[in-house]
Amino acid sequence: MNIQTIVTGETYELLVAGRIDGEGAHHLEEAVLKSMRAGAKSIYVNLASATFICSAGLRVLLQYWRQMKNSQRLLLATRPSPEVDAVLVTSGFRDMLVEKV
Amino acid sequence: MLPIREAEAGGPAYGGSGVAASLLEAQGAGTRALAWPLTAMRREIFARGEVLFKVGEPADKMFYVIRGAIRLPELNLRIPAGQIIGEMGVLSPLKERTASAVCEEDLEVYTMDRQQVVELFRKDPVLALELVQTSIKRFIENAKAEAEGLERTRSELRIAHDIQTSMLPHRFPAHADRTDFETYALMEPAKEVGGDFYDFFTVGKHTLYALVGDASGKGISAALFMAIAKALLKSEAQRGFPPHRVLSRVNHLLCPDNERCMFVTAFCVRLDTQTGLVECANAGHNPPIRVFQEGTAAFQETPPGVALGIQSDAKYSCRKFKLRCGDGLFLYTDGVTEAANPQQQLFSERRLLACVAERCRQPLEVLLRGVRAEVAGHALQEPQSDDITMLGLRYQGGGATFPKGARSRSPRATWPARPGGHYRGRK
Repeated sequence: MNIQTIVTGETYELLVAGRIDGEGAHHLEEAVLKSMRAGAKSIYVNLASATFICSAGLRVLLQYWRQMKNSQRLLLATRPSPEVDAVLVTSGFRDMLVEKV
Repeated sequence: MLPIREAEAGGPAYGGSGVAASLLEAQGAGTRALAWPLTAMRREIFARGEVLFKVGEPADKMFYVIRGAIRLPELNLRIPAGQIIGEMGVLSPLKERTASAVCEEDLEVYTMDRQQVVELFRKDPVLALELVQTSIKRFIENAKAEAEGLERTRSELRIAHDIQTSMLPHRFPAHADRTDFETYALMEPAKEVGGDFYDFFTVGKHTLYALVGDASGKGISAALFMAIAKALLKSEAQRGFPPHRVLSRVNHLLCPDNERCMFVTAFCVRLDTQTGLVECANAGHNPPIRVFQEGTAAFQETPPGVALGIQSDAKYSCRKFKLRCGDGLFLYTDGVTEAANPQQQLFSERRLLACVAERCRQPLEVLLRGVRAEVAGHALQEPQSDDITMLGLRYQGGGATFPKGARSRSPRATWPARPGGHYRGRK
């Protein structure tokens, strides 16, 4: 899995490519934390090139979605690939986590 | 610590400065006394709590402890006065610390840098050899201690595995006295313990509950959350609530104090064993497969519901339908459909449906083990990355015409395909 970070002011976009498995979830968490520590007001996790997400990956998104929300900041997933979208729909977290376009 | 005076009598001189060497025994040197050239070494004082070095740092010197004690936190070892420390890093080709060292007490040490150690090999080969032997002995002891620690952890995980397995119904047939339904289940964690679970139990004479769930993550954290969720689900179901109420109540109990955002997906079924009426509710779980006695199977749609533990006000709905004699349900976790092969292709829901349809008239144990074998055949040598759980339920009430088990082997059955989205197994 590969994560590329694009910074525009206080908005961070994390472009995630590949499988978000257990190890990928750990890398995703590190990338999110790094963005938060750098002062990100908004973090968008772009999942267009993510081919898989496991429950540990979902947990990372949920945990930091909640933390950011509690500090009046924002974390959302964007453009989930069909494979990832199916997991988000099944788990019931799509409405909560995915940016409404 | 042995007195320095003894060294003056018997220890070799070193450094060409009329050294009064100390006769002190280094750890691991056995009964042979070692003489350390203290006057050629540098005396240093450290306060209690100070860090001498951290694991991974460059190893530039070794220490000889004169007074106080050092703790190696990663190895849980205490180095008292009279022993050396830091020699492994100095002698190692990696030239870095293999463990951290913290002063447990106020400390007085003599240090020898790498160049002095090299000099030692030339000027006092006997002492240098003892140093190497000490280092090797300590290395072996550390490796042995680590191996023992690993074995203890493995043993504890084996016990945890046994406890987790014993929490699930694992003796089959589970309801040998019942002719109106049949159940079978299997769970294989990817690690020693896992986050998947299943359960089935009767409440009163005519109600059967069946549950399948999957806690987020894997390993010990998932297993702990799974144990809580399973106990709550069973507890609420045993109070006779319909499935959507069971899920709603458990969700409400799991949400508070869940700072790490652990969650569990769950599917809950309640079967009236007199009428075949099924009520089921879904909390973010994979859709079950409904199996028909004719030899077809289809995914059973259920109202969507969010996984348990995150949204305390989440709502769950019930879906009702009737099973006829010989019909059943196949519940599973995503470890089945997401089992990957070496090319990272997933087993998929489509293939699972086909596997179940092909076996839907077989005894439940044969059906489940057949599907498991197909998943293993798909994954080949790719390691199992997620827990694999399956639960089969077959209704045999409502005027069963076949004795238990016989219908499954009937070769004369040729059933018509059902319309609309049903998958018919190969004949």
